[in-house]
This record gives sequence, structure tokens and C-alpha cells, in this order.
Amino acid sequence: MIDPASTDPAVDGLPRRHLRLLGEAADRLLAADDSAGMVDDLFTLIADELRLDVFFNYRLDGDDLLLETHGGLTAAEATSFERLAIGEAVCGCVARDRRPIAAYGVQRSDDPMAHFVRSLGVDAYVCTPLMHGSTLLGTLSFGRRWTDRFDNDEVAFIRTVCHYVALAKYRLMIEAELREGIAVSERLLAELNHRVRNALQTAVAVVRLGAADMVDTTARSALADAAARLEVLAAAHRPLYATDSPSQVDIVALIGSIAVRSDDEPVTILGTGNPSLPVEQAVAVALLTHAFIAPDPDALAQVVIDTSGDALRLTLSGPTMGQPRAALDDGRLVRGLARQLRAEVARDGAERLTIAIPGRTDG
Amino acid sequence: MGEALRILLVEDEALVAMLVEDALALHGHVVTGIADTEAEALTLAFAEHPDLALCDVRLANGDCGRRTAVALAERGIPCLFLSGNCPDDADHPLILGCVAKPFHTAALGRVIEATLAKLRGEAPERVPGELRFY
Repeated sequence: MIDPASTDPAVDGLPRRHLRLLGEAADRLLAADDSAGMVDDLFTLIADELRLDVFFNYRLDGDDLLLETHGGLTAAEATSFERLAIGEAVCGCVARDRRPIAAYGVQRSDDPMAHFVRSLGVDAYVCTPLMHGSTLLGTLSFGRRWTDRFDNDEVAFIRTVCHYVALAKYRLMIEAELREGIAVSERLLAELNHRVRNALQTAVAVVRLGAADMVDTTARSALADAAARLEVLAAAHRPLYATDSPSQVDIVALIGSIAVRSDDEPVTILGTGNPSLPVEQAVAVALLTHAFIAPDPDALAQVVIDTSGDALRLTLSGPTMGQPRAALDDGRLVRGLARQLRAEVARDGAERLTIAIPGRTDG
Repeated sequence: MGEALRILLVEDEALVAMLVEDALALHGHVVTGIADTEAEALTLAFAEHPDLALCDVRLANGDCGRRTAVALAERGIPCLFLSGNCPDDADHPLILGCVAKPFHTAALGRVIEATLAKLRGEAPERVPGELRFY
């Protein structure tokens, strides 16, 4: 037995045809998407050049090595050595010690460690640990029946190929973990979305049904208002579920969804540019707009959303929209939302109410 | 008020079902029954022959609303999903669309109007934001 790890044959010294093969092997391994299949392809690529008869690729599986793919073995042989303990046979020792082993003249050897490869008729055998950093991924071995050794160039070539295989396997492992992580996150997000939407819907139902049960008209009206605000809140969040930019809400669509008259007459929504706001501001804008519409939704004829200048300006027009409503305009809800938005609210005394929000953004 | 429809509700959230029932009644429609499982939905559908079914995607006892909607559609009953997680597509031509939860209660009347227009082969005048046709 010799340990090729004690020598360090330079890849630069490899024959030109070996370098060409290395290049081709690297190309295939970089493009591979199947851990076992890529080693099968690699063996097909290099077997003739290196006159190889067998290969075994073990994958670390818990505390054991599991034969992932192989070539040159019968099915029965593969089954009998399908699983090796760390430290068992040549591959187990390579995995345990994280060092390659070359076994030459195997047929003449009585080393019990070589029993497995000897039983296959292999006479020269090189087993290399597949490592990424200090992490053991498995082992990869190549063997010959027709001769009792490999030369130094061939060992250097095999070690380089095994290094490439380890990198490719590590890449595939990380990609699989990433895919699984993304899938788990997406399932979690979908479930969360579903739960949030259903919880909001149930909250609306609780308040509306509570309102319906109320005998006291003031309490009923207050509960109905609360339910309507919950629905506005839900409407402001709805675009987030169906957009690639979940931090921004389309204000034209949002206002369109809440500016609805009870008599079903259409309300014209006009927007310049592509006005959008972060969700926190969008929720406040929706609630504020709804506060002005709710007392008399059928008075609303048109909403213009203008992003020219340095403010987002919503102009609500209709027969009475511009007439002051002191109880509403000076109420806690309007004052609180306006303060949150740093918004200025102005009525023109007739048909127009304007909400100007400084520092607007548009999409 | 438009044409009054007889509507089957397949919804496992009792409060949401009650809310929808009240809202539909307000628009003159009749809820023929409320089911929260596939078997119950099919029994009610067989007994009442509704004009339309509103069907949640997740039902009680782990029943699948998509499968239930297909079963109803195969019996000639047009369906709309009513879900917090609307499927991207339908498994039957009579599964017409999905109403996304949470929805505006007041919009349910327009949802039914738009669906009725669709069933007649007409273009709906207005499709509420909550409703997406397949």
C-alpha cells in the first residue's frame, strides 16, 4: 500500500489529453443536476483513457457510507457492499481518515481491509474522500483489473477529478437545501396569508353580525362603522398578496375599491402617474378617505389622485363633498389619521375636498 | 335589485357563512343551505338544486373545496370559490371564478350580478375587485 497524499503531483505535469479531459469533466460537472448521474457520466468520459474497470461512489449517510452509484460491478456485488461502516474496508478507512488511499497489487495482498476490492478481481485501486472544506460528503474510487497499479500522473488526474466531483456534489447539496428552504418558506407564507385573510374576514363577520343583533341604533351604527373600517383595512392589504413589490400599494386601485356608492352609480377614479404608497401610509389614506366618504357615499362622483409636485393629492368631488362637517373634520379619527400622514385636509365650501400628503412616492 | 338566485353556501366558518347569508339576503337572493363538508354540500345540492354555489377552498374535516366545486359543477351547478387563497385556475368550466377573502360585504351583490351576466354569456358591467373570473 502507498499513500499518494504523501506526494503532490502537479496538475501542470499532466499529459495534454488528461488536461482536455479535465476541462470536459469540469464542464459536465458544472452543468450537472443529478448527483449520481454526473458520476456515471464522468466514469463514461474517463474510463477508456484511464483504462478503468470499476468505480464506486459512496455517499455519507448518517454514520455510514451508502453506495450511491457504481460501475463494473454486478448487482449482487453492489448489494453486498451497499452500506459500509466508517472504518470498514478501504472506502471506510478513507472516510474515517479523510485521506486518499491507493492500493496496488491487491490480488497479491492478504490485507483484510482490501477484501472487498480483491473479491471483485481488482488489482489496482484508488479511493479518494469527497470533501468540502472539513465536511466529508463521501468517497469516490476507481479500480483496474488488468494491472496492479496507477502511475503518478493518473493518480494526480483522479485526485483532481474527485476534487471537482466534491465541489459539484456540494453545489447540488446546497441547491437542494436552498430549494427545500424556499419551498418551506413559500408554504409558510401561503398558510400565513390564508390565515390572515380568513381571520380578517371572520373579524368583519363578528362585528357585522354583532351590529345586526344590536337594538340600540347608536351602538349598531358604531359597530357597522367599525366593520366598514375593517373592510377598508382588508382592502388596503389585498394588493400585497398579488404583487411582486409587497411594500407598495397602488393608490388608484385602493381608492377605487373603497369609493363605492350605495346606489351603485359609478365613481370616476382618475390618477396621474402611478401613485403608490408604503402599506402603512396606504392603510391610513384608505381609512381617512373612507371616513370622508362613509357619511354620504352617494355624494361622491369623482376622485382625482395627483402626484405632480411634492405631495400626493386626493381630490374628492361631489355635490356636498366640499361642505364642512365639523363633527367629522374635527373628530378624533380624522385628526389622528391626518396627523399620522402629515396630511392637510381642505374643503372648498362646495363640491371639493382635498387631502394633500407631503413626501408622496410613486411607483 | 336584479334577478334573485338560489345559492348554496359551502363554508366551514360559521360566522363568515352567516355574514354571506345576510349580505345575499339583503340583495334579494335566497341561501338554500349552508354546508361545511363535501358530502353535506352534495346532499344539499341534490335536494335543493341551487342556481349557484359559493364554495370555500378549505372545508371542515379536511375536505377539499376544489374537489367539492368540481363535484357540484359536474351536477350542472355553477360555482364561485370564496377563499383567502384563490386557486389560480379552475378544474371545470362551470367553476367561474373566485371571490377573495376578505371581501367587502357590500360587494357581494355585485359579485352575484357579474356572475349572472357571465352565465348568460354577457360581459359583466362591473366586476368588483374581490372577484376574479377564470
